[in-house]
Amino acid sequence: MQAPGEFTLLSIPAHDMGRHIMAAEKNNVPLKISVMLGNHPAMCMFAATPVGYEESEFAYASQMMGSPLRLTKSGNGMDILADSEIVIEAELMNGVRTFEGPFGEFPGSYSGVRKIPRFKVTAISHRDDPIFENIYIGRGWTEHDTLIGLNTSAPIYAQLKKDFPEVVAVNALYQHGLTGVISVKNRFAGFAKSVAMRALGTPHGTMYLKNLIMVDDDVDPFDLNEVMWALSTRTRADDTIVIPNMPLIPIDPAAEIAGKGHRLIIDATSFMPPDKLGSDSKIVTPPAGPEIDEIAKMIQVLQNGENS
Amino acid sequence: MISCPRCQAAQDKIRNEHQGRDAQGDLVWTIYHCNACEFTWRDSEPATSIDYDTREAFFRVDPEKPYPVIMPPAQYK
Repeated sequence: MQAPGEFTLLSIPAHDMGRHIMAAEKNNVPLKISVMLGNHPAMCMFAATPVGYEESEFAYASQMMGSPLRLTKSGNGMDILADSEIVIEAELMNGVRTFEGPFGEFPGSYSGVRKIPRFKVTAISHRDDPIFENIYIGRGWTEHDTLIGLNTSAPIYAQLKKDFPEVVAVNALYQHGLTGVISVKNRFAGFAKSVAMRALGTPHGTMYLKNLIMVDDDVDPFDLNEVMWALSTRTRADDTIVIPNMPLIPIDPAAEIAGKGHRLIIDATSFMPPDKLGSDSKIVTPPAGPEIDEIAKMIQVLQNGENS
Repeated sequence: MISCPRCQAAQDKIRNEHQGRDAQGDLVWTIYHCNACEFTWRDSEPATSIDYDTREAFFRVDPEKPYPVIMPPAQYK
């Protein structure tokens, strides 16, 4: 709240809403919004999912729930959820920016002070005894990491999979994807790096994927023991990439300039020709088959003391 | 003499926003708003929030400082 009936709401150019704000101010036309507080968890989940600009979060939430959403019109003409606890209708104050912050943020740090877009409230409606929904956020692991982890990973996976069917899994659980681990089956030497570059161009990757670790398809990116094994055995220090001065969310605590940052790609996939391979070793593949099953049975008998 | 806990603006910049009273009508707390930095506070909050000198420096604001502007508009007001 900035004054009775006025509030600031942070949006950045990478957000859909940021695009709307910039377009409204450029053309000097009113931008009306409806802020819905306290909604079905499926709606919250997809509101926080980096789907494409042309895609509908309402449609995704409805599909996941397997039933149509109950929508209605807000007083200022927006499609809103009929069952929101609180709805704040407002209009952008074109060209106005106001102090906000510092605020606690998901990297476990405070944002700096910013001057951000300001809105004028035109109406507030709510259910009887409305529930104000909030979230615990801070240095991980918090409920924010749990609630946003999978819906951050899934769209990146889907967007990559379209162009590169060799992608097996995407783990972007850590700090909203500031670090991501992607497993991929190398089609040719250096392939994982091309996949990494594509990941940086996805809607979420553009602003969030700061550190990317690429692993082979035999490594589960959600099993950090396996990821550390891949890092330990399949990386060469001169086979990492740093891309300087890329766009980055303005709340990365490590940023020299808020809103820009360097990207790191670590290729921890195994080398294949024409790359030179490790000259004096061979990676072990865990043995399997009828013989191994037989040996396992014998060991189990010994362990159970049934060998008398 | 009230000044802004966040930017130290003087009393003439401070707006008396709202007064909270108990069932007997006695004043319990007052909410103030600073027109210089747009900070809003309640006078019953801890000193680390509402006393400029006790407040951590990181959480103070200098309205003269050029803070980052998110999506700088063409006609900036």
